[in-house]
Amino acid sequence: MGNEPLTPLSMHILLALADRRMHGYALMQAVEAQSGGTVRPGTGSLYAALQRLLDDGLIAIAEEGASSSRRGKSYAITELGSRAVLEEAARMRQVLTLVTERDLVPDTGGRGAR
Amino acid sequence: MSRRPHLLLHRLLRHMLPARIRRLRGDEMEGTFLRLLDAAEDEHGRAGALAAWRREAPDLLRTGLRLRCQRVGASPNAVDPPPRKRASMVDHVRHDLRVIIRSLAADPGWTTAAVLTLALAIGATTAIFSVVDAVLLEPLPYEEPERLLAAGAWDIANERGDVAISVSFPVYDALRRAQEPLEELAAYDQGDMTVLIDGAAERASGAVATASLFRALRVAPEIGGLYGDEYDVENGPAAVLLSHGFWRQRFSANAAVVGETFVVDEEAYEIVGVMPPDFAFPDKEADFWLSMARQTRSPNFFYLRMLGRVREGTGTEQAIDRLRALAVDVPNDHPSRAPEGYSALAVPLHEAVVAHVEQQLLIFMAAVSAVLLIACINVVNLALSRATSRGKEYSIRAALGATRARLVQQLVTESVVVSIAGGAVGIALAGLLTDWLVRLSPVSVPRQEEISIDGGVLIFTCLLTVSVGVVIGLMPALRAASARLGTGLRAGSHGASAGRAHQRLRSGLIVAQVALAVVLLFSAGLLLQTFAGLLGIDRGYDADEVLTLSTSLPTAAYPDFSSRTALYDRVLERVDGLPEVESSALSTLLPYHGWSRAAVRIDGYTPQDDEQMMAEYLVVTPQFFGTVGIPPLSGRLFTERDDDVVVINQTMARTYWPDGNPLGARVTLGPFGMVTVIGVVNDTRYTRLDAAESPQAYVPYRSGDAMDMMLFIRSAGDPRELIVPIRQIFAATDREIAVADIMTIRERLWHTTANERFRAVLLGTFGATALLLAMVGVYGVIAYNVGQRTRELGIRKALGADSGLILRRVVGGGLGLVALGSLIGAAGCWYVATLLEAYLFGVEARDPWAFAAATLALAAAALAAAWIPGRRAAAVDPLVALRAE
Repeated sequence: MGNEPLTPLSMHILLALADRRMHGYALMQAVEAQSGGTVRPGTGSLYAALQRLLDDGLIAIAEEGASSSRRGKSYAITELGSRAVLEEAARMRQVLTLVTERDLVPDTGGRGAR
Repeated sequence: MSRRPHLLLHRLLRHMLPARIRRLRGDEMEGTFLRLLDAAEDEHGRAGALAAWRREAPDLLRTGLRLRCQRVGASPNAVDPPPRKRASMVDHVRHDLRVIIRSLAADPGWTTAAVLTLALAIGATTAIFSVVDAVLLEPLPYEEPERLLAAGAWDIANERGDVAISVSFPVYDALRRAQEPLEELAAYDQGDMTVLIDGAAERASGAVATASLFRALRVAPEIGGLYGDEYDVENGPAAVLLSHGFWRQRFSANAAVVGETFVVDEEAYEIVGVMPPDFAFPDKEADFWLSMARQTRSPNFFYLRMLGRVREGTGTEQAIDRLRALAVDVPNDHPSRAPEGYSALAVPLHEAVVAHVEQQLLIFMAAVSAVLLIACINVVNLALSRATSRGKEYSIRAALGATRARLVQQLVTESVVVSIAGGAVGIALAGLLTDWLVRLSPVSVPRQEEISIDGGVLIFTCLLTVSVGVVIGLMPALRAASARLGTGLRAGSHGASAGRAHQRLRSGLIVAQVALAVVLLFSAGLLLQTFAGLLGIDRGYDADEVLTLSTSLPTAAYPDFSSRTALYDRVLERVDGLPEVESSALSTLLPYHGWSRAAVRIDGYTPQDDEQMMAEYLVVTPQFFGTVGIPPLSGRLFTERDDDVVVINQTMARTYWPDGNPLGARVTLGPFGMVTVIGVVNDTRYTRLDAAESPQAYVPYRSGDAMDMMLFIRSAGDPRELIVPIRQIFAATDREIAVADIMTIRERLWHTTANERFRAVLLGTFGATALLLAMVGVYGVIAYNVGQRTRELGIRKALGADSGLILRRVVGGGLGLVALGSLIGAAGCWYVATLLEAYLFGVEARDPWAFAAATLALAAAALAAAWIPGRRAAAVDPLVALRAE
């Protein structure tokens, strides 16, 4: 890991988890809300991304659903994950700088993350 | 709908994902999906499930495809190492699955077409099957239901009787005492009754049941207890059991109501218990069950239906025989006449419950199977095109050592995968369709509350899905395998003769498809004509926008004619005072809501030997004719002052005065005695839409002494805006008068044609689907044919053939298939016509127009479908076509 860019969904997951730990359904809501509805994962893509992030050590399982098995597990961002977000942000900033220098973006608001 | 089908479908779709994710995250995914589903349903109501699936299903499929592709390489076309020698069947299948999912993903257009076609057909079949399963196949929801019998009385002297005919209490009581093969013989009835809730009267659907009914069905209440036999004693204590739904709606699910008093039809009943939510007997309409204490014992009231449970150790058939051998004497209320002898007729309860819908449901099942078959043919055709274009691939595989069996296995696995995807989407679709069917189905379909997509239905659908997959796969697979495997490599597939046999097969399939579609469209046409005919029939009066309602007066407060007249006068005066009301009237009968008949005697008319002189009658106020729009033909209509007069309809005039003038004639009309005919009016289809006109008499309200009257109100504006003020008028006059059935005559018409509408809508939907699928089928075959013949067409053009001629030949070929299919379909129509005869009205079962319309619709569809490839054929550029080699 390290050099490969994060997918938009993974990036959103990490950003959402940067605030607080969350279980799957809440994460789904958070991702949809913070992306302004442009990223709407189903359970398939969400858990595939979560598994990938777990495998890469960017997130960890915070609590083994002791309260209730139906609510599922809570996920938390790891040290490595926080670093990956920063790296990704740096990469994006670099891209954005290049784009702006070439005067390709009329307004810099846009959907930078995508 | 329960969560189970959703969970099953989700589990099925999760199999798209790699096993590792399923194992590690599967449970969580399920939990999260359930919350998604809940949230979506909170937001969108019933449509929520669909919204959730629209998000979930594509996501699972896409993610699955993406992950599986990534695992092997970047491209869906990457080579997957085949299993080693000595690999097991499972290894082969696993390897095949990977290859198949990749190759399907690489051809999304083809895959979508095939999956959606199958989803539609499997979904529709599952939905209809869920109804057939719940109504016809599932045992009744009682303990040992096979021991339950429906019983009727057999009149020994007159050799008359039927399980469906009700009996009087004395007949029931005598049979109950005399029979011995049954543990219990219970009696019950169902009808509208007036109940008092917080002092206000309303109508509810109540049942009457002997205490033995609950013992025979072996049901227990949810709260409180059942009533015992002592509550069935005439004039003894009376008890009532509430249905779960009624208890929740009307008593706010308050358990403390047990022991309180509930007033039904002015009699007090003690509430002894509440039945569980799934208890629905005789049907789901029943709001409560009354003990027999207040029910009439008269031998002249035939109102009870009977049900029994066969004693342990006695066979059902044996019990039926022994009941039939009974001979019970029942005294009647004519002391001079000998008692009448009865035995009991019985059939298994399930048979009696479904008797009147069985054939109809089987017809629906046959129709939906035809749709399924048509859809399968389309997918076979799709698969054949795909197999042909992949001929080279098979040849290479064969050259590399694949056996014929392996190739067949691979192709069949592929079509099973497609079919499973179709089945999964189909099940989700079936959930929606089933809900829709239940909402659409008329009250006459029994056991509606049991209809659901349960385990049994899912097993059926899974089996269906797999068999469809195998059947669809086998045909192209065997063809591909039997084609000489070498030829594909050598020359591409342009060999003119190689395609011939192939083309014949596909044309044959289209002919079959067209034949099925013609039969479906023909049936739909007949049923639609029946429905439209009923709505469009000349009803002889003009009152679609007239508002109607029924009233039920408490006898204690209105014991005699003068008190009732005073009440109705008071109410009508206030109704007429409402700004929009043009006129209002009273009648004893609502349209399409039963009829009363009376014996007729006419001076100077001698009936034939077997002729029963009868007339239907309505007791009406003078304003009735104007309000409902029945004009006089001759004579005059009656006024407020008229007594002992009658207005008759044309049929009555024609029947009893075949060559004379009925005006002024003296007639004895049942309970009204001698009356004088003063006028003749049009025939009206007032009591039944589908029956021929019968003699009808209108009796003035003054001479009628009728009990509960129906109100008819003609409004200058929207009649529905009168509902609230009219209810207020009644509430202000007397809260113990129950007002019910408030609707316009147009709405009544809508209700009374519910059965016909259900059949027409269902078969119409099947017919339209069949038409669409057949159109796609014809298009597919002709387009394929043109594609295969590009070279030949090019040569023809090069040799001077004219574009118009080519277009005509291509389109003509398509129409030829339709003609042949229609011809075969005609035979099917002939057969189907006899099945449908019982459901038709106003149209011949072998209506040539319906057949012509079906054929024309298909021909038009085929013309449109053939036109597109036909244009392409005509536009073939000879140079390009020839160079393509």
